[in-house]
Amino acid sequence: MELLGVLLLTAEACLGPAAASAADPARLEVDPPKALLVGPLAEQQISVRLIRPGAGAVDVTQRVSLAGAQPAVQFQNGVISARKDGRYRLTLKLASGRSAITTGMTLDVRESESARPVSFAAEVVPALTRAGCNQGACHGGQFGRGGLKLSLLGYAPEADYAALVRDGGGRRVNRTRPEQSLLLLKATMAVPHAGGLRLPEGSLPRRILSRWLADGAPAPLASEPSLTGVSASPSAAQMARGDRRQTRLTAHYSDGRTVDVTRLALIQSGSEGVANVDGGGLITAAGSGIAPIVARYQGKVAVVRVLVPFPRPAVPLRWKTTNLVDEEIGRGWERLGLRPSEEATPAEFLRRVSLDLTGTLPTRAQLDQYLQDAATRPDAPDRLVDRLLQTEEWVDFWALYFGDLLRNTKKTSGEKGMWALHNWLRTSLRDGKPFNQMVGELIGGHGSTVQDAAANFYNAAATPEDLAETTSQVFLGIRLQCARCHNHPFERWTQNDYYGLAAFFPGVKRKQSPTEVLVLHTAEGKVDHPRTGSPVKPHTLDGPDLEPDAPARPAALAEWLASPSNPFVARTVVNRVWGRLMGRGLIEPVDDIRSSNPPSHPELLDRLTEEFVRGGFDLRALMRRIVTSRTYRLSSRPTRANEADDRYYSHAISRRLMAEQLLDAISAATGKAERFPGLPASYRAISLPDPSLAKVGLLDTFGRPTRATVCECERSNNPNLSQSLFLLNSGYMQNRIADEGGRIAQGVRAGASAEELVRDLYAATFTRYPRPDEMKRSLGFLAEAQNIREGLEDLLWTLLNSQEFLLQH
Amino acid sequence: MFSFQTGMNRDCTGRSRRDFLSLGSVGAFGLTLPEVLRAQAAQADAPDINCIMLWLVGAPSHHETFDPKPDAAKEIRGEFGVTRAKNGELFGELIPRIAAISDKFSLLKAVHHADGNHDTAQFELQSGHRFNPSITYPSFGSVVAKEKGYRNGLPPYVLFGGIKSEGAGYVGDIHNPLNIGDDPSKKGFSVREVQPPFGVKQNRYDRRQRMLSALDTFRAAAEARGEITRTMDGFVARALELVASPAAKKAFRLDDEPEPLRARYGMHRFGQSCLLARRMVEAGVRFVTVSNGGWDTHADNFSRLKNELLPPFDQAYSALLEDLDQRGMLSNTLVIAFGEFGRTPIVNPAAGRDHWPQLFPVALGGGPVKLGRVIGSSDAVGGEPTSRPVSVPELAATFYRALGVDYHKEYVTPDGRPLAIVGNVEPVSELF
Repeated sequence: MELLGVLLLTAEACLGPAAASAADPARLEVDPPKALLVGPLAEQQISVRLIRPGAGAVDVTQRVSLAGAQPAVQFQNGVISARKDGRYRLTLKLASGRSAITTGMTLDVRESESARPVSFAAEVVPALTRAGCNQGACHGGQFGRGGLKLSLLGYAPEADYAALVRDGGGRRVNRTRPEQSLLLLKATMAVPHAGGLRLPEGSLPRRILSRWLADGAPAPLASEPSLTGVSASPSAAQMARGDRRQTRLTAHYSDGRTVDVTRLALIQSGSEGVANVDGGGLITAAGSGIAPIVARYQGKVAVVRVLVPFPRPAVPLRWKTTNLVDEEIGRGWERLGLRPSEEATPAEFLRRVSLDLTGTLPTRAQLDQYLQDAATRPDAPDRLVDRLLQTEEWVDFWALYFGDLLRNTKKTSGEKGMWALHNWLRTSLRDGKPFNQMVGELIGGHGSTVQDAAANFYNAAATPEDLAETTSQVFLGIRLQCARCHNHPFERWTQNDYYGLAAFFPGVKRKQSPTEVLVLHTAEGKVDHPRTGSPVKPHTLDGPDLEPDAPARPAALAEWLASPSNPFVARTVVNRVWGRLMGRGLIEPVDDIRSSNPPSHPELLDRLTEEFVRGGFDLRALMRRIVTSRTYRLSSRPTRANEADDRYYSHAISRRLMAEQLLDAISAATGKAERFPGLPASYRAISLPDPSLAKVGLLDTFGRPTRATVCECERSNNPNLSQSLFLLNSGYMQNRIADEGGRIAQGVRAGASAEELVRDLYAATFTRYPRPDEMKRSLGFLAEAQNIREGLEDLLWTLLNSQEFLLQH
Repeated sequence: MFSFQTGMNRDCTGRSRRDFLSLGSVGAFGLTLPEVLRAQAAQADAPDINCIMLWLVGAPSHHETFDPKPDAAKEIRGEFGVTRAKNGELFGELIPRIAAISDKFSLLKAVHHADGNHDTAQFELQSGHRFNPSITYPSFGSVVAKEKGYRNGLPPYVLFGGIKSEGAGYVGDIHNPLNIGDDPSKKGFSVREVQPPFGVKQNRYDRRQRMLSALDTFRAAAEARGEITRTMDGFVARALELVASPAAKKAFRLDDEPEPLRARYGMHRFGQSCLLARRMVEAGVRFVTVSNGGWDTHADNFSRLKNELLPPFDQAYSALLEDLDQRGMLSNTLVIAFGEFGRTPIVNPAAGRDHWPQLFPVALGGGPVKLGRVIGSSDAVGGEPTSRPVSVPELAATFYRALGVDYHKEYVTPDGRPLAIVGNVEPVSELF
């Protein structure tokens, strides 16, 4: 039977003048133009936009309501549902005064009166998730709440069914009087419920649960079509502040079916200052920037990228691009209406790039040399970068970085193993070993950890679980820890992925000999899935099950990781290096890559990654690409128009010097180097192989990591009170400043003029010479002191406590 | 307005799930000074119970302190006798002064956990959470610092020792303790960093501050680098305020204490740290941890306890309780003494005792916690709980309940995960 009906949807609000003008024909656009509803509970979210040629588009989904009476079809807030099967030809109409605009859509309705029972896994669980019942803070927590424990966000329907129907003395479900089921009474607050009202009258989750209970609370089916993914429409939207935009979410099943799940998904904004979204998928633009709107449904994720430009700048963007970094960053500004700060001075650039690449402040001689170069040679920045990349300090500083990530300590690897891995890192970096080869050697490493230094990887992490987490976070940039106990709540990773990765490692054994540790890749061991109890085959993330020979399990993983086609490894290290040099990762945090945490500049990350892979995983080339960009050379001083920007690189991001940079900078500025007992005098903080070798209070106060975790967040560059007290008042600082062999004492003994000594202190701390007013004030303060030495000490104290010294800017 | 749709993502505590995401994406480490100041203002009317925690690192033997078994075989009871405490309990004979004031604290005799490793057990006993390699939970002091904030210009959390398990973990370094590493019993001790550098007189220090105002260019609005410069400026202001604060000066000036009282606490690091802790709490610090190591007596348990460890502990702990009581401070100061686990019932061939997390006592009293109670008991060898076992999360809930901290409150980890301060447990109700 086929019914034909006409619906008139009328707008309550006025149309703008553009829409009302006959000379300027506006039209309505409906998404989707065709909809299919299957089953009695089916709904379809639509979005309706008014397209005004020359005046943009307005979302009018919320501004229309059902006019013409059509008893079988309901329409409210853009949601269509129907009570009777058939094919409907709907006319959507937006009216204002006497003018009206219409458009059509078709609606097919099937099985609207079907008695097919509600599916526990495909309908009840999403309803519980949507209602918040199984979130981590409530019944989905480790211990559940109030005696009811559900799986976090519904990853284990069988267990949830048992908890709801069989446990709790069977009180939760009442088959004879379904509406008296405790489950419903609690969640509707008919009886007191600490979690409050979860199922308001008329909500879809409530209707699903009521119907399931009325059906006799059927158990999960043995087999159902599986959910293959979700998609959002639109997937991207440009909006102005205050604009609204309706989005909708579609679930795709293995049998080809698609279902609108907008009202069962969890939809959240990843950046609330920019855009907000309500539970019905209606987005409101609140501020400027890019906001990912993340929709999650049954472990699948779709993202709507919302872009809200900054207030239109008065000046056009003048941006000459010679570098892919500048192209993409400039494109971002163009889209967002941002304008960059001015270029940093040559001295600022010198300081910045020296600290970023080598962790080291330039000397006064290097400052003079560079100022001269910059004044005479246009390629001075490039030449500087090339020089810095070939220094031993570059090797030291990046060995420190990777040493942190690999958690290289003598505590886990022994004295010899720790040194071996440190030297391996330094040699690999100095020789420009391709990064993927380094990764392959680390994972494939076996034998004596003194001979095959890379095998020390297996000292920092020991169990298959720990190795899976380490490998994932360090090399894939994915935090897989969540999936150890439950499927990842924000991401598609499941316990299967977790234990599949762990299954590469059960054969790794460590044997302690008197002098060294032997790492063996044996055929022993297996990894069992904690829920099913059956062994899990090794499989890579997003990859197939592998069946390597048991002793070759780590080798198979190494091969996958080192392959240029690996989708994670290059991208992760590119993002890490970018984050280190630019002060913020394109994906931030840098080791939390997931679809619900999208990059600020996806095209840039893709292009940098592609170039990095094509160029043979060359870390130096990657760094050169970044620091020779114009973007990198921008001043850290924001303009009034771009100061709100903290992620589109319109100005350099200032951050506190990291602990090792700071200690070395203080050594250099005071002229009194720190000595580390047991290490040669040439060792500086950035060249330490293991934090435990140097117990210096400053390093701990300023947030150096102890290498206890694989998270970059273990290093803290955040300021705190103890740091300020240390710098202002500690005997350590005072002794440095006043040391008899230090910069000031030497300068005074050499009989230099006050003016020259002030210049020297400025160059040694700020990497620039004082401006005339600064010179005048400094000399004025010097004159107040009892003697020149005291005055200079006070000046050095002042400079060392100044932000221009303490910040990387 | 609280509509159906926006209500859906709220959790049991009424916070939006989206708050988690947005907070998570900023990261809990991104806390800035203004947030601390706000937190401080918000807590103005929270109950003001302070805490002095005697943190006995390395794990003291319960057999020679609060849970002796004089009737057990020699290889269990060890070399020392017992003494009858004021509340009728038997204590080891080497802590007579503590025994004499056993009405000024209570004992949980059957605390237990399952981690026999020092490092990880210390994290567990400082946070109430089993050690987890992928996340560092905040210590008790850091939670108090976060919840209660500054008072009288003094930092909320001070530690004598060095930060290991006593840190702020995922709630952010801003809530780390102010760490005092020097030994207060040393001649000429002063907390260096809350006063001008040694040898720099006040007028010179004043000049330095004028120089900093004049020459620190980034302080000028036109040169400011955004949030980080405001935050760093805020900390410098806090630091200088601390240096200038009469309350702080007083708190850190141990020389003001009369010699007899200093001697009563004991002229050693532990004793003088306890005395200084009391001065700090008097001045406005909310939580002081006195970390005291050396208790890991795998060998020579008896001679080390007798000659090195127990006399200072007996002296300092009893002096602190007496002193607080006399000043009327015990009613608003919780004093806790404990280590990370107990020690084996059977003495090993090296005359030592090894690690024993199955059972150990925790002494606590003051504030709302009743005094003189003994809760829980152990078997005949001091090996397993026989009544009222207390888990570490229950212990944590007890501490927080006493300190007026809502321990069911949830924080958000840097990766956006909501975590309750303590899980789903109740405090030891017999203590309240």
